[in-house]
Amino acid sequence: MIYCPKCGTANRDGSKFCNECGESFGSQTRIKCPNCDTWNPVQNVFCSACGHRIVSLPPKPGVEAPPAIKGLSLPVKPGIGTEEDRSAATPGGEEDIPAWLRELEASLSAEGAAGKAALTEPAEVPDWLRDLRDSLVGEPPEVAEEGLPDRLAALRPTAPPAQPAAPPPAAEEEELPDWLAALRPTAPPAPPAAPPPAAEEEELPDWLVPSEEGLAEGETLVRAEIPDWLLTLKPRELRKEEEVEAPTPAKEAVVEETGLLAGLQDILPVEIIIAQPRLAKAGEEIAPVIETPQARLFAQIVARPPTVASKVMPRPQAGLLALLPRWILSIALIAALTLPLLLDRPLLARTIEPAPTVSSLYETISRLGSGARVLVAFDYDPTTSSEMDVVAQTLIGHLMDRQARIVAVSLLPAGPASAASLLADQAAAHPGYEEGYGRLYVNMGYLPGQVAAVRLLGESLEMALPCDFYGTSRADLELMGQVKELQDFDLILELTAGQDSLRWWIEQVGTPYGLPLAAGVSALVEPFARAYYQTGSQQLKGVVAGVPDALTYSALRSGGEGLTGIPAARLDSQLAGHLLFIVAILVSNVAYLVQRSRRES
Amino acid sequence: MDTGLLDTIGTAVAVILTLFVFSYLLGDNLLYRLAEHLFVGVAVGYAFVVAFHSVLIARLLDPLVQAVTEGNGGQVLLKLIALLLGGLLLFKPARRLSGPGNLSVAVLIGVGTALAIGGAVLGTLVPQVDASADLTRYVDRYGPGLGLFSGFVVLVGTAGTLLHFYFHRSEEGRLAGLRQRLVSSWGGLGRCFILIAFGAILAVTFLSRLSLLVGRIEFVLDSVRQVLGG
Repeated sequence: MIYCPKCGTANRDGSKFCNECGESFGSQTRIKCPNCDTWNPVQNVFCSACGHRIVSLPPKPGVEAPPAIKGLSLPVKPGIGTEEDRSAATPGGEEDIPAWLRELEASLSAEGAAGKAALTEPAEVPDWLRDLRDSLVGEPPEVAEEGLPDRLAALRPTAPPAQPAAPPPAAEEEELPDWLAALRPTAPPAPPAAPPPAAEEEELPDWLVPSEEGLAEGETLVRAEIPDWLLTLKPRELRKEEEVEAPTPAKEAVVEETGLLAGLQDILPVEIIIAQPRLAKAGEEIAPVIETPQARLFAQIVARPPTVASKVMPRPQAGLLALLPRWILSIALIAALTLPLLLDRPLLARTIEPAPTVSSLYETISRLGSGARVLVAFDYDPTTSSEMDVVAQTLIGHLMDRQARIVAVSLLPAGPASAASLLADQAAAHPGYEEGYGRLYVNMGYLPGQVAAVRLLGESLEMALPCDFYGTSRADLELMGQVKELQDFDLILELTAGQDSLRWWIEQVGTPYGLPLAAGVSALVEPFARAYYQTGSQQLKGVVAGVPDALTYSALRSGGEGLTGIPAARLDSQLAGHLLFIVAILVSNVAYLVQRSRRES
Repeated sequence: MDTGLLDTIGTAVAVILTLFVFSYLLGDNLLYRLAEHLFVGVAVGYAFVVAFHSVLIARLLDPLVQAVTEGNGGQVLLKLIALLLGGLLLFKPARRLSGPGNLSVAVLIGVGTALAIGGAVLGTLVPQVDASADLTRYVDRYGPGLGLFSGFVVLVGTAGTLLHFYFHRSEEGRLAGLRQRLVSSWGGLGRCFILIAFGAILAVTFLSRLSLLVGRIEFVLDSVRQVLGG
């Protein structure tokens, strides 16, 4: 139901206008409590926060009588309205009156016609005067009719009040002003038919006054108890003291301290509690909203007091038995790798089948003429020199075999040292190169700037390489006088253990300038380098990857003979390591599967 | 001091430090930590010395002095700008004064990114797409049968790998079901290609690291032989 905030009439849910007064509440979805400013649904009659009535009371019977039945408004019980209303509501005459109403009227007739007459009043009496008169009903008139003006005489009731109260004390009469005393009805009050009823009974309309007619002798009417749920609907101001619940604590007045509203109280609404920050308390129980494991886990985590994790993680204490497989595997690996090196002779007789990448690079260097200029980038440091030195020695040795002019650079700070050592070793092994530094080969040192430095080589070789690793100016180096720009090199050889530097050389120098580029890389970079070797333009002319490829390349340099000596022993050592790991992986997987099957069974 | 003696001492220190690192096989210990910290310290110190001599002196200060001596205003301005940008980087460690250093970092990142993107498109992306789509090259290299099969495998693998990273699966349109099945099936096949590639990379990583271990063992054995006079 929707109660009209203006006239209090109950309307059906969904009504847009009041069926009684036409008040529009189509857009009104909430009603503001005038007492505590709380917004309530339109269905509420009393405020849900303070209990104050938020819908005005319907018109009192007899004061402003609503029509008996009008539209869809609630049905009005016959007898509530005025006499005219009742007569209008029963146009059919005596036959249309129901039996219960006839009995009620019979009980009312005992009170005399005076009571009925009291309900009748002129229609032109204003509301304020009618209320004032109601408050004075029952008081004995003291002023004679002669003293009344004509306009007030017309307002005088023609009949005594229906239920006059007890005669008021004389003191009250004396306190009344003259003009108010003149309003008293002139007719004397009718004697009460029954003892004065209780205060509640006085408020009841006449038709609700119980009648003892029809009761057997000794039977009395027992006052019915109002159920609790009905009491809760009773306005707070109409309740008795015992019915009133414990008084709610007085709301703390909020005094504005700043702004234009400073000093005023309860001007701004109090911040709702959900917007206030709330600190979690350790051990506070949180009611689970959803009974799922995730919700319970989340609640536990939230309720847990914050702890600061220690920076040093405790080291797991493994027993000697747990470390035993690790030690066994380590010892077996070292033994497998050391044994072929100690024997110093090949365990297996193998034929050399070089990979296409290796053959291609070998052919590329073999085609270089005597005195060809080759730029070699030593982009690896001592951390990978055990592998990369084998590759570099092979390729640099082949270049020196071809009497190539070698210019060494490095994108790593530690690279020039590796280059200097390796170049010196290879120069010592090749006749003519022992005293050829500056003329046959040169170490131009560290080239800072990474990708930008590679690009700078293509833009300005003079700016990129101002001096060598030892501080000698490029003007004093005979070989550098022969190369003015990058295109003067016949080949660029990249020696690297990382794919980034290889990509820089390919993308910034090899492809833009169309220079032949080859690579000697770590086995780790081999899949990456192979993709550039297989492009249509063959961005890499050849690739030597890791120790196996380097040893194969050495075999090609020696005329295709089988590997012998230390290279063969090193290859055998690596092969033994591979076999050991294959066996270890198989054994570990079988052990795991057996253990899992036992656990499942 | 005699060069041979220095080499002998250097070799002995290298062998001892190598054994210290190998002691990690028995678990983390003081000897391993000693070798580790020594290596890091020496590497940083050496890199600083190289950068100071090869970069600051050889490529900045000496050319700046030479340009001033020759009266080459352009070179002087160029070197001063480089010196200024490098000096601004010194403000980076201080939080309140790190603002000017952002200019140097912006230049470094901007130039590096521009070079990387341009180089990647022209040097890697275009050639790799071209190589993947060129079936005739496979035929020329491996013959008609094996070449076509190789090209088909490359095509299926490349497309499947790309479809594997196609995360948006719209349920709208008439061909939504067919598209979803295609993405799930072909993308699943591409996932297999990715796993095979990762397996190959893991294998070559093991191969590379095993080569390093063999090299270290060989170095220790050679050193012991030299000491023993073998």
